[in-house]
Amino acid sequence: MLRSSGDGTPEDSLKAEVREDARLLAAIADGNQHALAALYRRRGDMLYSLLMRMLTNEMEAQEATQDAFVAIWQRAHKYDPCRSSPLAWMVMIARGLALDRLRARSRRSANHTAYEHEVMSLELEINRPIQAERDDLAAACASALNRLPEDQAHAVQLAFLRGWTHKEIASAAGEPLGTVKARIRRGLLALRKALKDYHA
Amino acid sequence: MPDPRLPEDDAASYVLGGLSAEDRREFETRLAESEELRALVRELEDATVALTLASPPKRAPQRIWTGIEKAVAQESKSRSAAFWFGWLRNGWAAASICLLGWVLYAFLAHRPASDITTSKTSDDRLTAAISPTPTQALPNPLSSPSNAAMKLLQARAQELAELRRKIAQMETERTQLSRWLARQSAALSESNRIKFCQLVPASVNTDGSAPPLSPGLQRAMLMAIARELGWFESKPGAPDDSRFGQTPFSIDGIDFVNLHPNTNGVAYQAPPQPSAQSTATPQTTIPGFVAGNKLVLAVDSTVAPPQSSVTFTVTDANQNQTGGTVVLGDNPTVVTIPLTAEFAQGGVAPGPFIPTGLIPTPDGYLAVTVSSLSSSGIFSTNWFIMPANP
Repeated sequence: MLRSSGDGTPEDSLKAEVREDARLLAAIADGNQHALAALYRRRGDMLYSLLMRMLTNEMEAQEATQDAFVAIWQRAHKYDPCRSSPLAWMVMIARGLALDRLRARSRRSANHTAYEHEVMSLELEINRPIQAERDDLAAACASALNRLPEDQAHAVQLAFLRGWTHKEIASAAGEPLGTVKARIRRGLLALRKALKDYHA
Repeated sequence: MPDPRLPEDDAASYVLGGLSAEDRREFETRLAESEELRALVRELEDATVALTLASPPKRAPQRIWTGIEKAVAQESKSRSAAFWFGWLRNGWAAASICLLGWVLYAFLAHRPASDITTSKTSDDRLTAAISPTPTQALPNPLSSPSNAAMKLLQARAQELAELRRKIAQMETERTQLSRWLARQSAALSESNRIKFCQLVPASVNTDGSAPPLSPGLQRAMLMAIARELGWFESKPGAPDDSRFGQTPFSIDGIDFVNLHPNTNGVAYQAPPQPSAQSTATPQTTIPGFVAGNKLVLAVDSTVAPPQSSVTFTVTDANQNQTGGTVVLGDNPTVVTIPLTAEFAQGGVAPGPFIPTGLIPTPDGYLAVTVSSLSSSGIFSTNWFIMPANP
């Protein structure tokens, strides 16, 4: 549950969430396995959902989730709260592990056919009937993603979920590199704004 | 057309991992210098959180946590092993054990015993912590930072108790062994205990090789033991010490001679200094045993020719000498020689007959001299040595 049931504002709720994650990471850095269990209860489903979306394979997603939490256990002492939020730090760890698996599957050919195929699979995945209940924040984020212009949404998702580089996307989509960069930047910032607006 | 080198674009590439190694290093240099750029990167990273949250929600299966738990436990063990190895190697072990012992003592002395006993392993507790039990709040490990230390102390207390139990058990075994050893030592010093020995010529003693016993000597020795154990007493007409003291006695071809005063032996006197001495030294071993205050030896023709007059001289710690003279017959002869009380108690002196160069050990040696004068007038002297406490 990402939103607290307290009486505070959404901003307070966000800060409380961040504080709790940071507190657990600090405890994990001290070797506290109970803190790791607590963090898994808070963030396990979320990271597993991301990894399922990236890898589109249940078994691989489960392995990657396990690897991600073991990596969090191992690297918690390196977490710097001044550089990134705890959740972003954990997402980056999980995403990095998933990208390693994607790269290991086969050499990717960044051509137009592959581009079309990936875009279609991302569309199918995002529009699949929801199997578990989304909380308000997740619903707001999904809504923000759906509101993005199609080319922005595609570029952002290909870059984030499939690990395509800006150049690869530009080449496969037949668009100038600068255009693709701008789409990704704008798409990310729009999502960030949606998150900020939600907590405001 | 947008500028491809806009910092915002580089920041997005950086967050998504799309920069080359060189560009990444360059961007991180800029990042370290610019607060504005750091804030932008944070914002873009938060956007990835939004993207993550937008993923269709899935419920993580329980087996994922089971795998995490196992992996973490295994790594913790490896970490712990590496830590303890380094700790032991650096020599902090002894100091820390003392400190731990003191802490445990203080801890145990002020806590009820029920608090120390734990029935669950740490793995069980961890599993319980992650199991979805809505009514049971997850223990907050951070609200009481001393919890982990307390659990560690409890685990150490159990280990210490087990070690104490083992030490107590070993202590009991040591006590039992000490008692057994004391009983054996006491038994060895009993005056009526038979202590077997072999008198080896001093010339061969140092290399440890003793000449073999003749069959006659072996039989004589067995008869001497049988007599010492009283086996002859049930035999009609068997000799006892008093009868022995009157006349030499033969049993089954073995002669028995007792050199105690007033017996059949000749009272001890220093052996005569003959004019001629044989150069042929018999290389034989004389078997014997010490029982109480007497030395019993078996001799035959390998020691001196039949009809020889053989004088036995035993030197004790105070230079007192005992012994006597017997005339050997054709049979192997068992000779009983009195010992002084000092020797019976273990005191020994090298004596005047120890050859030059023989160094007494801390236990000392008993010197037994056997001088013989044959019927043809050939005289020979041999000294034998034996440990003080055979």
